[in-house]
Amino acid sequence: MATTANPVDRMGTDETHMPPSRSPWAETWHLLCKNRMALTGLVIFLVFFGVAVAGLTVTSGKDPILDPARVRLQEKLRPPFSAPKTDSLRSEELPALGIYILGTDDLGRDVFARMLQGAWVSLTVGFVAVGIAVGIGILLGGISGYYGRQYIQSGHILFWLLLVLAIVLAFQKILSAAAVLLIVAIAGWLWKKRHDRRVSPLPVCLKWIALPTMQVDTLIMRAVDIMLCFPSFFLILTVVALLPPSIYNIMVIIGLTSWMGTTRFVRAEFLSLREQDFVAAARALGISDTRIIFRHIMPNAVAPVLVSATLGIASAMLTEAGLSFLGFGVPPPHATWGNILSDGKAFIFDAPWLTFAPGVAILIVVLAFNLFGEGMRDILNPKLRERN
Amino acid sequence: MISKVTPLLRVEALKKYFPVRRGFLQQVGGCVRAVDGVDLEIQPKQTLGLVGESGCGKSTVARLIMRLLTPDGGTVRFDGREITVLNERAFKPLRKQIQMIFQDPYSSLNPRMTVAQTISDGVRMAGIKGKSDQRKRIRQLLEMVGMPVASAGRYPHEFSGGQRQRVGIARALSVSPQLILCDEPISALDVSIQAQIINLLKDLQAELGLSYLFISHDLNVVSYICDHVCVMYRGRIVESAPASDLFDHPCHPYTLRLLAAVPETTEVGWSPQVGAGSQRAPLPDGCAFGDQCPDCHDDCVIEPPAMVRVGGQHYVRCWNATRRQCSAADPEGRH
Repeated sequence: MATTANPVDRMGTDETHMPPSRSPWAETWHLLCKNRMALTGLVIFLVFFGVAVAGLTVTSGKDPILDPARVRLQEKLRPPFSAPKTDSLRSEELPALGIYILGTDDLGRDVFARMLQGAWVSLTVGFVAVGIAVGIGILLGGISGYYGRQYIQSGHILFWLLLVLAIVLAFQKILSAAAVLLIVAIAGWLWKKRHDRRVSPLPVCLKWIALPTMQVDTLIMRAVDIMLCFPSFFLILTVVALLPPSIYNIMVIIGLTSWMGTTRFVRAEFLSLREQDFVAAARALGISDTRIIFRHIMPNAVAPVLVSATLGIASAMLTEAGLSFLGFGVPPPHATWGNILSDGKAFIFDAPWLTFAPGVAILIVVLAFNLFGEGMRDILNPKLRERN
Repeated sequence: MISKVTPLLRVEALKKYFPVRRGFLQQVGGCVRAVDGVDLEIQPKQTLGLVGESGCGKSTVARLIMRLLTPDGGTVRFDGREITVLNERAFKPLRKQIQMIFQDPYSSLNPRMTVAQTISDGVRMAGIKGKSDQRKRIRQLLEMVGMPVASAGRYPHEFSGGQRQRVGIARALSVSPQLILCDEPISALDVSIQAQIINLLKDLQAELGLSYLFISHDLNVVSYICDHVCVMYRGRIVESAPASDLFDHPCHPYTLRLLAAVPETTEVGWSPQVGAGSQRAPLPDGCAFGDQCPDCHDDCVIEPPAMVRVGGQHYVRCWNATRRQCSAADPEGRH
C-alpha cells in the first residue's frame, strides 16, 4: 500500500473515456426496443389508444359521422363488408364509409360504429379504474411500508371516530354539533402534536391517549386480506346492483375493489428500500420524511407498480366487459364491447360477427396489455438489466 | 493518562438490544445484545479504529451514534453535548456535524438520482441556496474527492465501486462535518482501489481537519490509518490501545487471534489456537470470550472481566491481562 498520497492516486482510473451517459428511463426504452413482445404490446396499445380517441370524436356529439345508435330495421344482421341497400334508406341513414365494415346487429345498427364507441369505454374504464386502484395502493402501501412499525394509539382512533361522527352529523344537517366535534378533534390532534415535540410525559389522566393498540402495518395488511377474501367479481356485482347503473360508477367500483395487489407490491418495495443505505444516508443528512418518501423511495418503487398497473388495465377491461355482458355494466343504448357481445349471443349462429368482433377486440387488447406488462416486468428487473 | 484535549465524541456505556420475536403471537423471547456497554472516545482530527468480526456490533455502534437507531442505554456526547436525549428537531443541526460513509457503494447511492442530485441534497441541507452556488459547491466537492466534474450528470450505475465510494464521500462532505463514521468503507472494493480510497480519506483529514471512526476488519488498513484502535467482541470493547501499542503488544486473547488470522503479521509471543471453534457452551455469567479462550480459568467463568489498564492508554478486558507479558514497551505503566 502506498504510504504517500499523490494527485494521481486521488483520481479514479478510467474517467477519461466513459460511455455516453444514459438515464434509467433511456435505458428502459433501449431494453424495450430489444424486447419484441413488449414492443408489439406497446404498439397495439398505442393503436388502440388512437382508435379509441378517434372513435370518441366520430361517434359522439349531436350529429356524429358514424352514429352507433342509428337503427335501420330493414338492414338488420347484415354480414361484414356488405353494402347498404341504398333504395330503402334515407340519405342520412347511410353509413359514412359506404359499407358496414363489421356488419350490423339485430336492430340494423352499424357494429363498427358501436365498436368504436365501446373502445373509448374500455379505455377509460381501464385507466380510471387502475388510476384509482394505484392511487389507493401507493398511499396505503407506502404508509404500511414506511410507517408500518408504528403503533396506532387509542388517541388516533378517537380522532377518526370524532371525524366520522362529525361527517355523519353534517350529512344529517346537524351542522353546529358537527362543527363542535370537528373543532374538538382537530384541537386535540394539534395539542397532542405539540406535546410530542416537547419530550415531557403526558398527565396521568390522559395516559390512555397514548395507549398503543395495533401496528399500522397490521391494520392495512389485514384490510387487504379481508378485501381479497371476497371474490371480487361478485363483490362488484353486489355493489353495482345497489347503485344506479352508470359508466362512472363502474369505473370507481372496479378501482375500489382492485387496489390490494398494488398495496402489497408498494409495501414490499418500501420495506426493502427503507433498509437500503441510500435511505440511511438521506436520513443522516437530516432530510425530511416527505422528501425521503417522494424523492428517494418512490422513484425506485414505481417499476413494479407500473407492471401491476399495466396488467391491471387488462383485467379492469375484462371485468367491465364481463359486467356489461351480464347486463350490469354501462346502461344501453351506450355501446361497450361487453354489451355488443351480450347482444350478439342470441344470434351466434346466424350472425357470428356480432360476437366475434368484440370478442377478438377484447382478446387482442387484453393480450397486448399483458404482453406489455410482462415485458416491462422483465425489462425493469435489475438482474436482467445487468446482463445487457 | 487523561488526554488534555476534550474529545470530539465520547460514547459511554452504549447499549442496543434487539428483541428476538418468535412464535405465532410474536412474543419477545430474549434479545440479541448487539451493543452491550461500549465506551469510545474520538479526539479531534484523529482516527479511531473499531475492529472485530462480523456481527460483533461495529456497524450498530456507528448507527447508534448517527441516531439511525435509538440506543437502549448509555450516552453519546458530541463536543461535550449529550445527543441521545435530544429529539429529532433539536438534533437536526448536529446531524451536519456527524456524517457516515457506507460499506456497500452499490446500495448507498440512489440508483434513480444523478451524482449531482445525490450531492445536492446535502448541499441544500448545508444551507446553500441559489442554483449557481449549489452547482459551484457540487463541483468543488467532486474535485475534492477526485471525481471529474463531468460525472455530475451521470447515474450511479455508470460508475465503478471506487468511484461510487468517492461520490458517497462527497455526499458526506457536502454538509462540512467534523466527524465521519466510516462503516467498512473499503471492504467492498478491490485492493488497488482500497489504497486510493484510504489515501483520499487521509488527505481529506489533513485538509479539512476531520475526525474518523473507522470501522473495519482489515487490520492492515487499520494499522495504517488509525491513531487509536478498539477491538470489539460480542458487543463489547475487549481491548483499546493506541494503534502502535495494540499491534506491537496485543494483550487480549481475541486480539491475538485476530492478528494471528492476518497473513504476514508480526510474530506474536503467545499464540492462541487460530480459528478454534467453540469447545464449550457460551458462559452465561462469565467472560464473553470464555468459551473460546485457551486461557480460560475459574475467575473467567464466574464473573465478566472489567477493563484493566495494562499501561499507557492500553486497556484490556481480561482477567489474565496483567499476568500476561503484553506491554513490554511501556514498563513505567505496568501495574
